[in-house]
Amino acid sequence: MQSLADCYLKLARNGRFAALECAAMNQNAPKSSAGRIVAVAVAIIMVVAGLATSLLLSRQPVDFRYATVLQPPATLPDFVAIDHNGERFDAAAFQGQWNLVFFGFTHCPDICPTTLAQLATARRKLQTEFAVTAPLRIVFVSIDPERDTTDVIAPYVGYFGENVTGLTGDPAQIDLLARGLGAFYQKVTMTNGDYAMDHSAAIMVINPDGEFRALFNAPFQLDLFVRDMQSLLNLG
Amino acid sequence: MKNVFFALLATVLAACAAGHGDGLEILDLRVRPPLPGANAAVAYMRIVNHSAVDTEISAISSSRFGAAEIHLSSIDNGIASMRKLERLAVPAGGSIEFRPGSYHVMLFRPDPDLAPGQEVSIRLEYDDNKQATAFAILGEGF
Repeated sequence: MQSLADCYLKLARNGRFAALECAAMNQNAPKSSAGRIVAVAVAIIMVVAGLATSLLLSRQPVDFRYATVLQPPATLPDFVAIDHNGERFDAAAFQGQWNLVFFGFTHCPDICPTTLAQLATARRKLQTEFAVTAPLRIVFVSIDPERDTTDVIAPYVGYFGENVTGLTGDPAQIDLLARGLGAFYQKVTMTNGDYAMDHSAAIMVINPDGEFRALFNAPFQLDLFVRDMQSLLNLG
Repeated sequence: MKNVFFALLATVLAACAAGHGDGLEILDLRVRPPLPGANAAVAYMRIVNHSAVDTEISAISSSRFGAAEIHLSSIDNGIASMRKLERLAVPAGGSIEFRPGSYHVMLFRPDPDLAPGQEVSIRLEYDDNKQATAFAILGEGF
């Protein structure tokens, strides 16, 4: 038969279910009425403590102010893109580290480089100010693969620092990935015959299991992003 | 402190020398080079209208780029978009801020030898034959 001490240990580990079990055990033990009152009081305290412990340990609501967290995470579509080095990059290639994904195009002088620069700053902050050691990869997916060949995106992504991957390839495959992450884009013809792309400017987060874990909508908010990314990395 | 004083003095002298009169004036021009791999650059600035009437910019050009266009970036419902503006009205006595995520000058076809540290000009045309010009040193990066 387990002792009350064992019960407390179990309580600390398993929360409210153990508390109910311990309370029942304790209630059965004493015989006097005074003892019964004490037992009931102890039981109530333990149930309350158990519930509180359980809530604190396993049900602590994480307060996300900017991120939309997918619970459960979503599986990625079966796509095959080409990375900036010309290597095959499929859904499994996201595995092994956290990925901060941004859809854009290099003929975009304003929002795209601004967002990528902010992402790089956010990553640096997480690593230097918040001691994040988990590897964080920035992934730039070109939604203009026609113009953004590997020759174009390789130097482009290199500009934003280490561990930045550029993706291009077959437009149908890029589209598959975009749909899987809920990213929208469309070509817009300009008056000079040139074209620009309208595109989702959100940051999508893919976890080290290669699953779509969270979304940060545009416009990018650096401090909130850093704060919520920290929570997300802790949550796993 | 001394440096601040001289910087202010230089700014005031430059403003006087520019002699913007009562037309448009370009202030705080920043030109960023094209990123590696990309062929377009961007410029930000503030355009002030010193006159008492709304003034419309009809053309824009740059000394070191083949073409320049005024664009407006916006993010609506999470979608980023960029539109070219053929003309842009600056309200009487007001100003328009060109900044990331909003109005910007998109610069195409840089001179092949263009490098950070070099001087780049931006010129606006308005009211048929009037012009406003400003110079900036090409920045190192984004």
